Amino acid sequence: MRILKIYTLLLILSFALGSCEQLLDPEKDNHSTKERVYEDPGFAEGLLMSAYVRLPTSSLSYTDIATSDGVSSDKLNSYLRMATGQWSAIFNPIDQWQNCNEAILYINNFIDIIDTVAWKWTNNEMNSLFARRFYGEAYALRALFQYHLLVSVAGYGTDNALLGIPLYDKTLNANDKFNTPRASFTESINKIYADFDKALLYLVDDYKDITSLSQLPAGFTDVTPVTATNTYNIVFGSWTAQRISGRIVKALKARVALFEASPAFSADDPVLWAKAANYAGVVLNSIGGIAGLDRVGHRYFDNTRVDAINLANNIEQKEIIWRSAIVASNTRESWNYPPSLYGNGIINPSQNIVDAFPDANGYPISDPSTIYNATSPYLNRDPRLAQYIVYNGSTFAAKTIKTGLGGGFNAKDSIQTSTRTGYYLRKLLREDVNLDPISINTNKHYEVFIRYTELYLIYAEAANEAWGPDVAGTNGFTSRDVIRAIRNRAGIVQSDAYLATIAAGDKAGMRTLIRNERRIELCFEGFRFWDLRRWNVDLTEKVRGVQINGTSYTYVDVEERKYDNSYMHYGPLPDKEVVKYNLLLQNKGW
Amino acid sequence: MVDFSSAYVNSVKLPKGNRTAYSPSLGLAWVISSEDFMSSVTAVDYLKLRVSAGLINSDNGIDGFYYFDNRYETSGSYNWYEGAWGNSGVVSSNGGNRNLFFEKRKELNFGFEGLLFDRMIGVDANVFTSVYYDQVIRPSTLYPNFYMSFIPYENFESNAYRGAELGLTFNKNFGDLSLVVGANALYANSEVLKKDEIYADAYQKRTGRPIDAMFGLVADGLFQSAAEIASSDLQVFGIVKPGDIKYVDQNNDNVIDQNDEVQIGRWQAPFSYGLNLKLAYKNFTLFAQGTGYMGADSYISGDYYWVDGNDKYSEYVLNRWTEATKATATFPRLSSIANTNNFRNSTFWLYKDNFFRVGRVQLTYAIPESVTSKLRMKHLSFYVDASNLLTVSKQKKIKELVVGSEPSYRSFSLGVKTMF
Repeated sequence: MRILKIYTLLLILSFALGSCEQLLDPEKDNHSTKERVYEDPGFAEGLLMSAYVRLPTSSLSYTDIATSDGVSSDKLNSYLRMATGQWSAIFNPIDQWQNCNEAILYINNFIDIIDTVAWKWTNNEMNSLFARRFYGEAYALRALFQYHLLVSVAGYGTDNALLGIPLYDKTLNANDKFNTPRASFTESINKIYADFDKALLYLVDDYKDITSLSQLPAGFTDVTPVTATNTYNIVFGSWTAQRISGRIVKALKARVALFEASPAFSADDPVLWAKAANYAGVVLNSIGGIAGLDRVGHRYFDNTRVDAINLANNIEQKEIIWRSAIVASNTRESWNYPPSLYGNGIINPSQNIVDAFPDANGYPISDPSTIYNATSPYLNRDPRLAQYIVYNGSTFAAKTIKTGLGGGFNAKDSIQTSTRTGYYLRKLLREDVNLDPISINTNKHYEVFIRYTELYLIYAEAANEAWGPDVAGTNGFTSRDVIRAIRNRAGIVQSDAYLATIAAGDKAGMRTLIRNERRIELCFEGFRFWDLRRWNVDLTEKVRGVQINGTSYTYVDVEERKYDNSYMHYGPLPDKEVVKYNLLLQNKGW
Repeated sequence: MVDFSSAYVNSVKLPKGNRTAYSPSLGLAWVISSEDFMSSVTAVDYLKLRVSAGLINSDNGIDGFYYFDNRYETSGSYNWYEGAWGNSGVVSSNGGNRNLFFEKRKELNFGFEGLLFDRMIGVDANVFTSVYYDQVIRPSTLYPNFYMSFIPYENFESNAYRGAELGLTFNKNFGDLSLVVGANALYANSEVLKKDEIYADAYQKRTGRPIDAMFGLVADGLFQSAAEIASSDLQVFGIVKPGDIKYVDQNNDNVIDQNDEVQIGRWQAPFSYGLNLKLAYKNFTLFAQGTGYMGADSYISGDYYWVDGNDKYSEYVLNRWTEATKATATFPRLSSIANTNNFRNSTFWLYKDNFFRVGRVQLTYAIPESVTSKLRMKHLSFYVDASNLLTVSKQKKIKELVVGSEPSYRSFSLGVKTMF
């Protein structure tokens, strides 16, 4: 009986305490929730910024050292590990799965709220202009991330079908089904074009201020009315530069089309090649076709060229389509300067790429007509060799760099940070950066997202495949015209006799030359690794280097490229994701 | 005897409507020796049976507030117009969960204590089992990796702990000799009942194994030649050269990677025991106490054993692998850069961590009262005391070596104790 009383008392007491709930709310800790998105336009835009933050090009990835173009002097470098046989679905340094899908996830969340958020509640006109630009940016970026994801995983799945990426274009909730199959390669590509085309309905080609309403681009009088130049300038004016624009989208479409038409993904299809050529042609013709080629675009990273940029005064490099904002740094230099200049000498260009540079007359060094001389291999070469690569005897940052015997720390294999090939990187480095600890400095750098030279090379490659070296299509210039202009710019002695040796109908001969020009022009910018894959060519060429003793040059193997040509043209999906979701098929071989 | 207690707990870490929970516990004890029918059993002086059970709700495992809310934060930023403009990225920091609730624990204990044979023998035994469940985590395997920032906190994981304890004391005088011996043994085991995990190979599952399971690769000696490396399965942890550790491929995919890690031991000893002894003869008293652990494993690691690059090289690596010593080497080849193939958890570095440690021994001599009284003292005794006297273990050297902090030491003391 007594027990019962205690029991009852306890129960009453405990319920009494339970009712104090209102007093026991957690202290407000000022955390943000989705609500803030609707109240704070800056915060709402942050969802879109989360996509910009994840741009894969926002820091240069030197995947070139996972090809025969170079090696890393850092033996623990993940690209080195990948290239020497350790690439797998578990160890995948070039994985884009999480990064790109995350960006797409936030873009989809952003698209959902564009119409709801009051971007400028005091000005209806400006509000709808903001919404317009945001739609354009969101679709454009979604296409871009889908493209990067597709590049990293497109391939033949375990079902032998050519697969693409899972397509997400809605906000995902925690209780949604995530076991989504990959769309086919074609569906994925079409989704990318569809998003780019949607973006083009909203975006303008270039973010430029207007001074009168008559300068308004098409679509602004009827679709989104503008009655004041200032309203337009705030949203679409010059201060929006370096965000994704219509011109960038058009250029990216050419990049996607080239990828789609490439041998790894399509049987040689002239329609696809022509599409790529025409996408590139449209943008190139908007800057004057061949005449629009930046005369110094192959040296866009030179000190003076970078320092001359001044957006406020409308001074931008002609070469640039899209780049990051300029920041002062010396990261790239401390990575790659030779050890005598306090650098870590990480990227070591290979003998293979050095050999890819023609002689001064433009002949490959293996051609019988070459003026190349094996006893002085760096003389009489394409000027780009000296501009991109530091070799034995080069002057770099006002110092002579010796990579041969007796070259001190810079000599091949002398200390941990010495070159392993006999070469150091010069491209993209600023020689006015000083890493000496007593007078260390930084200088202006930017990251290129896309530049015109790539677009010219896309045109050359696609036009040659579609129509041959000398057919202009509807664009007014031919594949050969582009290659001539690029080689002329580089300083190949005119009239480029070697180029003339390629016969009018010799698509294959032209292809070899175009691929070589692409290799040189875009070297160490992260293209080569994916180019080899989309071309479906041998991935296992050994990396060679040079041992120099006085005037004797001994060429040696430096590192193997242990790829399996039977499946490694297509990258892996993350192992864990494939285990989690049975509908998500892995590519064959991984 | 009945002991009932209950708590109605409240937690502000939980969402409204889920903030309170009722936690009852009940204990029953029965002193059998006091019952009439036991009065004839003279060997039993005292015997008590006890059983207790409880359900406990706790928010201890929830280490922050507003975990039920879908919180957003800024992360990273993008600049445009040459950095004159910029804005921060906004991301979710965790998904919301309006059903978040207390972590729970079910407990059941059963035991008895008794004194037998004129209080010569004391027994105390206990069997316990407890299940922790609804433990709060963010289950990453239920969502794709790119959904990570939206994964909510959920009541998900579950672990069980079970064990038994037995304590015995023996207490007897033999003339001038008095003897007290105590022994206790504890067996405690744990099991993962539910875990946020997904593996292609069943042997990698943590569920069903002890919580303290150690996972690692199974080593298969050292590579003796480049030819042996070439003919063996590919190991993907870094550069592999002759003299590096060779591992076993568990899933027969001809690649040795993290998927080949299996349970190779456990961190905690499931079985431990203690002994203490007090022996008194006339004015001498000897006291000794020791504890032992069995069943645990450990790795040798740290820069003393895992030496590479510019580390200081310890004597442990003297017997390293070289071409000349390949037949007898006990340590892999040395490497001037970090060796990511060798220095990872594997059976190569594993040792059985069984030991018995004599924690304390003390011998006391008390001066007889006839002498102390002359000295006008109430008490005078001398003693010798040793602590951490002895460790019995096959791995004594590893256990006693401490690198990087105060060394372990044995201490001896002599003492005098007086009272006036």
